[in-house]
Amino acid sequence: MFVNHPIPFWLITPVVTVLCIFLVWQESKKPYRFRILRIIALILMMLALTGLLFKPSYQTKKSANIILLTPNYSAIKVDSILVDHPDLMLMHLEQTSPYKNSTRLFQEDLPERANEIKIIIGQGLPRYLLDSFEAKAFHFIPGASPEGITNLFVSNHNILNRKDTITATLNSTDGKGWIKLSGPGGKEDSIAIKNKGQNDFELAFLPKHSGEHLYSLLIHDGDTAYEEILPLTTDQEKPLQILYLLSYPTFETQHLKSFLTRKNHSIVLRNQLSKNNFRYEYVNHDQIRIDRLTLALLDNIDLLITDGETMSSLSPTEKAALEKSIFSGLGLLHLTPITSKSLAEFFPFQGTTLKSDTAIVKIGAKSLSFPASKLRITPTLPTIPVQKNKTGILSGYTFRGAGKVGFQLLQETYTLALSGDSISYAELWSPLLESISRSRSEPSKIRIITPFPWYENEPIDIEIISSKENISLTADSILLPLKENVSFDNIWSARTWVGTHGWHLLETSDGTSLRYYVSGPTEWKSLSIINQQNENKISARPGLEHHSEKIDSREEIPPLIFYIIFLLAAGFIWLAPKL
Amino acid sequence: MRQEATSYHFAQMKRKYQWIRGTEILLWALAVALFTFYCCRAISIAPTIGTGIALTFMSITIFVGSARVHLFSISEKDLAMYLNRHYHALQESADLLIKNDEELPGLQLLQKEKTAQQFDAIYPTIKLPHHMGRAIGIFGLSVVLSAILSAFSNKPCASVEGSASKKIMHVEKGNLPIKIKGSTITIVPPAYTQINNRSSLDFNLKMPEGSNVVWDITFDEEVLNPRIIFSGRDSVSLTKIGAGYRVEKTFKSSVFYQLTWNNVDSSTQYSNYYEIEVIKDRAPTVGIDSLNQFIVLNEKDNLKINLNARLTDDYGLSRAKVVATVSKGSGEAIKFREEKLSFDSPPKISGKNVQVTKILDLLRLGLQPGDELYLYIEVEDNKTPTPNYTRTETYFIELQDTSSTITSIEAGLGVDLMPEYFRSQRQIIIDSEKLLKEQRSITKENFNTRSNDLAHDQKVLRLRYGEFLGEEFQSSVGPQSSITAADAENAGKNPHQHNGSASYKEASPLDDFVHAHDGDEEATFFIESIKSKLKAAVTIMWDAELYLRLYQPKKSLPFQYQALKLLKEISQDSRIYVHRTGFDPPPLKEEKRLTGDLKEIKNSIGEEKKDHAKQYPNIRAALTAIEKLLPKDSLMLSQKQKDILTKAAQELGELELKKPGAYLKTLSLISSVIHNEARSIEKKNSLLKIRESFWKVLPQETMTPQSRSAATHDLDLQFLKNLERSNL
Repeated sequence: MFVNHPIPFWLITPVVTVLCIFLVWQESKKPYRFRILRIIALILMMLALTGLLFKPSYQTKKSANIILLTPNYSAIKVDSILVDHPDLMLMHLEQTSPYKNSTRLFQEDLPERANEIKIIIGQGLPRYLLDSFEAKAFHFIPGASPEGITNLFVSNHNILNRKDTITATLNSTDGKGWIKLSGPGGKEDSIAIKNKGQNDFELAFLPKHSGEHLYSLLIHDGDTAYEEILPLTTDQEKPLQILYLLSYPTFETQHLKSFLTRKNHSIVLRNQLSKNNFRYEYVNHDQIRIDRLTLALLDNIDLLITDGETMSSLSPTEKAALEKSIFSGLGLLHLTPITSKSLAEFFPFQGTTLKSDTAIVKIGAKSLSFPASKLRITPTLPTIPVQKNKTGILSGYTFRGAGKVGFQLLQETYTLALSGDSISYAELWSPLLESISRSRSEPSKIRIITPFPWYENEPIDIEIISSKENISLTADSILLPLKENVSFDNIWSARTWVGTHGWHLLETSDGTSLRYYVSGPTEWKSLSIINQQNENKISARPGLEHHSEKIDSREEIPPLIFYIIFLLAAGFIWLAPKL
Repeated sequence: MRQEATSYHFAQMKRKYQWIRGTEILLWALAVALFTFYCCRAISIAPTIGTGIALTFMSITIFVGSARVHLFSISEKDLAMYLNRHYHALQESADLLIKNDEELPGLQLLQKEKTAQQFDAIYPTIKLPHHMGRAIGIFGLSVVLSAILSAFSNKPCASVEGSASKKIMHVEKGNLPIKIKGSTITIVPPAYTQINNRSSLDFNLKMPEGSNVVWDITFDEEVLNPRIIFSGRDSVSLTKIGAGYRVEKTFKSSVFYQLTWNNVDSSTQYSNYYEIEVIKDRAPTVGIDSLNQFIVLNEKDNLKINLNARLTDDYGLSRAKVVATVSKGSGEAIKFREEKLSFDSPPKISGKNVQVTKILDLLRLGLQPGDELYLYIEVEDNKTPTPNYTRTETYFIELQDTSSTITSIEAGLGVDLMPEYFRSQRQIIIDSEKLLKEQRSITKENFNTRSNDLAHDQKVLRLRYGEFLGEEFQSSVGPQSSITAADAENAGKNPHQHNGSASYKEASPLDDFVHAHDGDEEATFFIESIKSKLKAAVTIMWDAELYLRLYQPKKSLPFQYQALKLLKEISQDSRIYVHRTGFDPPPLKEEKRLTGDLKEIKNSIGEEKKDHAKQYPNIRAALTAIEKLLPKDSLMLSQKQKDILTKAAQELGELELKKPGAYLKTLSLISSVIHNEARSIEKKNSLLKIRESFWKVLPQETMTPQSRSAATHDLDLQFLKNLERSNL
């Protein structure tokens, strides 16, 4: 038997003993019936009082399985678990408030007792602590979703002068307020919070300068306001290498060439003037021979823009070179549809012919009408549309190996730019050209596996895909040890700890680099908790083992028993003289 | 009873005295206040201060005046004393009248009774003492003097220095940069603006174009080489005068400036950036009231045109004229005569807003039927040395010539190609009218023949004009056999089906004289309005000819008149055409046309390097540098970062010149950041504001396709190879 003594033992014992003797003496002097019984009742009453004050417990054997309480746990859920599994031990982490005699578990003891933890409740364990679990045979019961941003998606490759978006979810407590996205130039976008609980939202921004920039999300939820620093990177412009092969010049192609020239793309152009006469143009490109299409020529080109007549005039060798180049990544864009069966492999689309030679397309919020080919491409699974309307696909592409073959059925689109709407013209052409163009191969790719946000002195896991054997990685010029994936070649992983918040750099030996931002300790807490909960959910293995070994445990005698004894004894002493 | 009446009369007298004297004092006070106020204005004291001084003097006058005449302390005893002195009939006993009967012994009661009778008798004639006339005179005098002084209060200062010295105000201490003890900035606008010199309380200045600014600056400590840098480029050193420094400069455009000096420890100190906003002298504006730009008049109309215009300018007008050009003649003999006319009212142009009038007598200007008058108003303001100039659009007044016969539109082209035997449209009308008159006296056959002949003339005329429109047919000219009734009927049904007629295929004798092109090319000689009129005339000629062919000259006549009217208008238009161009297209080499010879065409190669550099490279570099700095706790700028910010500030300075005031605050912030004048937290806020300004400067560009990139794993390559193999 053990006692818990919130009031000092040396104080209670003499007081209770003296009180007991005095009361027994008083009771023995009273001339009522049941003297012995009254004295016994009195002693019982005093013992019950002592029990209430001492809270005695007894030693017993109990299951070694642990319920680990982590911050933000739900007490109701803990009680429910204990009803089903009363032999489970309650333990809590250092930053967690205790519950029902739960004992504190220090982080350094966690690896030792990892196998005993069967249930984790609350916001879970951080990734680096989870790594110390060998089997991870535990149930994870998440706590309530925290207030604030609980989900965030931002592209790592935002594009200059193009409207990019961030999508996120806010867990609102008040259901009234607003979220504002501010960039280096001030307010970019905002949205009202309308519902309590989860609110999905999307905010747009327009980067005008490449590089790393700190944006901010200002959240006003009811009476509370807080700001989250959002790091965004915008890629530098990467111009394309474009080859034009056309059977005759048109204003449409000339205007497209001018548009691309203004944007610093490299253009090589060949227009046929007569049977044996051609016009060659080289913009931002050295003079090269383009009389014949060869594999070597096409390998340096990202996009080939051509028309049906030029395609028909290609020799079999040229066709073979073109096909091979497309399979290895080249993009081919047809400005006129091809109907010849001999060229079907270069125009693998199914279409229907319409009577109308105009098409109405929607660019942004505008509906615009253009002259168009009478052919409309039928939507099929391999055909990815870029511009379409009710009649069919007007521009799109399909994959051929690593390359793409696309088409543009709209004509005289230059009228759009000439009428002053150069933004719509750029929006019409840029997505199509970009989708079809060759994806340039990089020697390596760096990816941070640990989800955003990243904090000071917390481990950040990195993955590298590289075609090089002797790759090395530096974090802010400090060499990191790399571990190769046991299952797949050329996939490497590393871990780093960052000492200060702000922008940091990861760089491989082949020049590939990645800039990332380490947040301040108070930033993105809700998102961090949700990330931690998700990782615990993924790591947890179902199945609770009941037949584990027993360990010694102390069980407190319920105070209710002492209370009832106290009431009964006191009641008898009061009632005895009246009987 | 008598006692009550006497008391009542004394109370009345007291009130009357107070009213009269009160008014008198008020007039004096107003006179003093008016005079004082306008004296203050005359010596250019601010109106609020002047009003304060005037009110003070007014209060003093009221206070002193009231005390002097016992306005509020006068009693009935004083009145009784006055009556005793001035009205002997009361026998020095007026003071008995204000005493109660109970207090008086019997003898005095008798005397009071007697005096009361006398008082009642003289009461209506009692005159209380006052100087109302003098007060009115003083007030009037002060009004006159104020009026005279007010004339001097806004007088433009011919002497710059003298005026400036009168009302120098120092720059407020709060606006002074650190280490500057005191400063006086005097702005001297150009004399023609008639704006007074003034001192600025702030280093940011706003002034009319051409103003001269004088800075007088004294420093707290000894400084070396103080200078002002204008727009980040030009610096002007301050000259030491006494204990302070002085510099002066004239500004014709907006700039920003910064004070800089070297301390004794040879460190350089910079002030904030300040703005000098120059208000440009705008050109005068002219608004012509109720005059159409194109006016066509007949000889019978009122040939006096009333020209009303409102001329306005920001500082003043100096000259305005009507420039009238009379155009006479036709063909190559067009003559122009230009006259500059003064306005009838006002005879001399001056002031900021002038309503001018001029009656243009077209006959006195020498306009005759067929002539045109082109006029516009030109105005100059009083700016020196070069006045601003404005002119209105040209207004056209045409005096129509209804009498002259138009036979050819080539008058405008300089060569008369019309053979003599062509009948003019007017001749055809005269002949048609004559035929109608003679209809009863001649046989039907004769009538029909003559009508057909006239139709032929009309046809020839139509064809001639049709040539100028590029119509593809030609016709022989000369006597023709009359057409058959069937032909006539055919013509009536469809006048445009004429290509089958053999007569149109014959060669025209004009071929040798006319430089014939394809019709469309020829037609390009004419402006659109002439072409449309010519087309309309030819169409109407078709109708005129039709009815002549149908032997109905009466029905044909309205069409002939319409055609004549249109031809007249074309004639007038062709004169303007001559005025505009003298284009003679080069002859084509007929032997080379449409041969399909491509020998001279060879492969052509064009090469260009167009590196469209991004705008504002330094501002972009500064943005990147700021982004790197912001997350750091310590915001100490390296020399390289300072250089980047300095270059960005120069780019921003150029923008500031184009848009004055927009980036001045940012420039000051950059200066404070570069020179480490701000604390760390202030520096962070400054950097955030600088970043915002830089970002806003960057232009919004359209999107462009980008090259995408991806790392390819060996497995991806293997997959593609297998895919390719399966396809092959």
